[in-house]
Amino acid sequence: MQDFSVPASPGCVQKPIALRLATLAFIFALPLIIYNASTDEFSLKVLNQIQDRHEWVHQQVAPAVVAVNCPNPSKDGMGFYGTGVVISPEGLVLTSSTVVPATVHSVQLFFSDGKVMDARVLATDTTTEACVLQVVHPAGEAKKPLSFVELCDSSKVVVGELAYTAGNPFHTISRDGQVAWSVGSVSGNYKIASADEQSHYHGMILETDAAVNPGSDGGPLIDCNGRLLGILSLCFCESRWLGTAIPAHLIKQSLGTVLKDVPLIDPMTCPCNGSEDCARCARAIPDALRFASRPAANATVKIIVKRSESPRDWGAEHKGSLVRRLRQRPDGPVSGVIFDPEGYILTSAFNIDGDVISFDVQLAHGEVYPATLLGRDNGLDVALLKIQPPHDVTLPTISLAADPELKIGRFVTVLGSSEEGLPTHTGGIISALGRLDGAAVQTDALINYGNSGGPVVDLNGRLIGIASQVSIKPRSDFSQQNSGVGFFAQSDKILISMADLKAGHDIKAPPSPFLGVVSSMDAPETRGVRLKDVLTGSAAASAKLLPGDVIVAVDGMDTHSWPALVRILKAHNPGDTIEITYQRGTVTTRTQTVLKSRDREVR
Amino acid sequence: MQRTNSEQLGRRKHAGLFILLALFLFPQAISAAGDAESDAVATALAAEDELTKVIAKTSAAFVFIGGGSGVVVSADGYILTNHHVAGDHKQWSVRIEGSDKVVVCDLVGTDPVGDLALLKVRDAQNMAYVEFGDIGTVRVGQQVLAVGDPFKLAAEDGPPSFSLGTVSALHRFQENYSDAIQTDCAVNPGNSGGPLLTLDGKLIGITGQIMSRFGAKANTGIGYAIPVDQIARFYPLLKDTAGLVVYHGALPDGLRFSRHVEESQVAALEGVDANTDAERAGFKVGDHILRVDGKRVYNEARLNGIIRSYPENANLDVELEREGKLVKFQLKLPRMPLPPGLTYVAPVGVKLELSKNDGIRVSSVDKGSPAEKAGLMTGDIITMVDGRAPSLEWQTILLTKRPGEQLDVQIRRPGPDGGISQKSVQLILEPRR
Repeated sequence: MQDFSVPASPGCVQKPIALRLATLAFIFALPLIIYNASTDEFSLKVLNQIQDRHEWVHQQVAPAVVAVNCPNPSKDGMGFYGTGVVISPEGLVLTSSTVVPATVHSVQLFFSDGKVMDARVLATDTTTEACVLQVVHPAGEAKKPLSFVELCDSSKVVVGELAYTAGNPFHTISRDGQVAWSVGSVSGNYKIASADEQSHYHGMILETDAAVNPGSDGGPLIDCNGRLLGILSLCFCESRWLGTAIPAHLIKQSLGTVLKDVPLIDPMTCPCNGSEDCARCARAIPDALRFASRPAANATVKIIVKRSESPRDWGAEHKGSLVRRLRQRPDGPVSGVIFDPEGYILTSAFNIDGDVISFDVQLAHGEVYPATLLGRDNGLDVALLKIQPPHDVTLPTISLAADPELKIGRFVTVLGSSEEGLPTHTGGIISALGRLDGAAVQTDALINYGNSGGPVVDLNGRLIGIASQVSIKPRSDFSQQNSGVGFFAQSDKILISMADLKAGHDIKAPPSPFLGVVSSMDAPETRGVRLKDVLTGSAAASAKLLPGDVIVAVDGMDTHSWPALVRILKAHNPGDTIEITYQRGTVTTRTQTVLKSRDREVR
Repeated sequence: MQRTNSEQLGRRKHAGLFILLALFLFPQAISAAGDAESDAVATALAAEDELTKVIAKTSAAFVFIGGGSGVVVSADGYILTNHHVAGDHKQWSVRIEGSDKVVVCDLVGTDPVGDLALLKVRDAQNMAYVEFGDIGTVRVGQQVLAVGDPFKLAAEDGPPSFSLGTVSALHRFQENYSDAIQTDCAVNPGNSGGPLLTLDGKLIGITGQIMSRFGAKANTGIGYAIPVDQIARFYPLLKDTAGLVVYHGALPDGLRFSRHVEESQVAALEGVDANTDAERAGFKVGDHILRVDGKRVYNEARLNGIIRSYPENANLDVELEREGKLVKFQLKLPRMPLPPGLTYVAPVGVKLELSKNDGIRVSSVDKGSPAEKAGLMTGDIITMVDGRAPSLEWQTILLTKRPGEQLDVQIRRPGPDGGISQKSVQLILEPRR
């Protein structure tokens, strides 16, 4: 049964009638086996099938991906390098003009099997920055057909669908014969005016959350059937900083004569002439997230924040180079979600700070409403806005999950709104719980300035959180957007603050309890926490604790180690009275003290 | 409609049966969009179920160590991490995710070239650990999990971070990560020393380096891991080295490779210097090296990559093409010298560095170490060790000594007045843990 609903075989084969009948008979004869089939076996099988398909697509595509190397004609020049992809057995190769600029005279292609071939430029299109090369077959040798990938009709692409990137970033093919492969999705499909220094593309792009790095440009973005969705580009959008590809159908349009013999294939056609079933399994996770998050996507909004001064001016030291700009908050719009039919909207508190003049909220369907700021929770990094639509308008909404049932390893997607107001999806898993003193859940889904404030949705379609903490001030030197270390505020904690937020309150980050001891790491064998230091004026000092004392219990609970003590303290609030049991020499004493508020990095 | 995942999955399985029956009876019904959607969700939920189980099972073996990560690889408490995380301290207090405890570990051995360090939890038994996987089954495109403590987010009591990604490439040559696995898992500062796991929970690598776009000091989809086959070759050596370093193999001296671009995809010898180890090993001008230890060599980098992933003295089969014929011989790998810079001599508790003017200089002394007890100080210049000229590597000397034995060290110590005093100190070696 599972085989059928989750078809796996990399080459999907039509089942003969006899086999269908035999299977059918088996199913009728033994329904109970299916009912009782262990969940374990089923899930393991599913996972293996997904793996097989991913590997199969790689095997199909990798031989057609080439490193492109162009020595610079001028002697002092650095030359150019990147990736290309073979699109016909006769040796047509697509790449980008950022890899093969007009000034270049000779082009060399490195295949992953070690083959090195020359190529000449057939055509370059300034609109799509696409460049078509023709492999030069060595004179006197038989022209062997090359492995190639078909062009997909990328006008039919769906945001959120599975996608792969393949290429030569940091010379992986030319130096090591290895096509660098990455799995992600088409995370957006919108128009950009590139912020890059090399690519000046203006137009529609496919954004991807699969890896795109220096040298990936010119390489393929691949769909679940191993076809070319687009050519990877260096262009990117300032509010998202993610990899992009120029869609294949636009390249085909622009280079019609050169590519006249290269057809655009409908994405629904299976490469092995069957149905689309064989790819379904590999696609299942991004597809499921896309399907499940549809209601949330309808409720996702773009928020345009007008400030008296550009956020760029806030940190003068961040001006300048591309690298520096990465850390700088762009002017672009941010994301949010309507979670209540009355027009309440959640976003990240970071998104709305500064000297704000106005908020405009653009719904998924395009309507724009002015919004007012009600309150914010600075601990969770969420803010509450409200719009007032006309009475006859029913807003698309998604309610906050009362119990998000968070678990490490659960699949999530972060929805956002592009600068144009089109949906974006970046998928991942829950990486860890209880981060940033319990204010955030960590995910490896990519979060950036653009989708910050957007809804985080699970496989059941529930709104489990709001993408937050995209720029944690004390940590901003290392916590960078799209690093795969992203955060969201969980729905149940937001619900606790909701009454205060609606009442228009600003909620400060909850103070952490502060005992005022420093543990000695010199004697980790000690059972209990040996104190290295007791801070003056702290709760520990008022309890008359001294360095050398060993805390063995708090409130009767065993503090066998530092993590155990920290965990017990974290469950308290400042002002709580706790009972400490400690050993001094051979004497065990109990004492009480009132916890104070936390000072950073000391408890 | 809010259901738990397992309920939903159960429901889907029943529904799936009926869909299936319908499909057999009416195969055209397959196109119904709703079915495709619920199938995708059922599939994804099943995969998620499996993933959460693997994570729950393997997280207990995770180790928080210094500013980095590590993983328990045996029930008696051997921990693997990076040399750059733990290679320069003899003793560590680490937090084990599974036991919620801070425990004491000793540095058992370290591999400065391959960036591995092996620690052992004292008196440990029945610890949760991950098993070594089989590199032969690892495929590009396969999904994998990276576990680590990026940016020290776990603080004092939090869990490690899990990231799902894919094997992006194998056999990447990244200098000292000479046969690296490349992954697009979110590997960030702090993940160093953490495990790269298959989705059935087996160790296939230790993550320790990244490359990134936009000059970001954070992940942009390229992380490198030391592969498990290399780890497995060094693991027994690290266990036996008593707190010292292990050495990698190198190509013998005297080989010169062709640098023509057309030949960059083969390891072709342009020259073999006379009276060198290379010549004695059997290499000749014009040889094309095809395989080493059965692994295909496609260029000089890959040749170095394979060689450096083996310990010194390993005997490897070399296959090469010479004047159209296949030639085979065995090559015994000479030692690859340690990179210049700091060297940590764990058994005596000193860090040494090569000082341009002075020679071997003590750059730090561990608290409570034999070196400190003997009165060795930072800044001392070592002039003689056990009657021999000093080097950064004390391996050969220390391996002949037993605990309790004495090591004579001659030093020169710059005085506050600019003068220099000559001293002799006696280090008493302590029992090994």
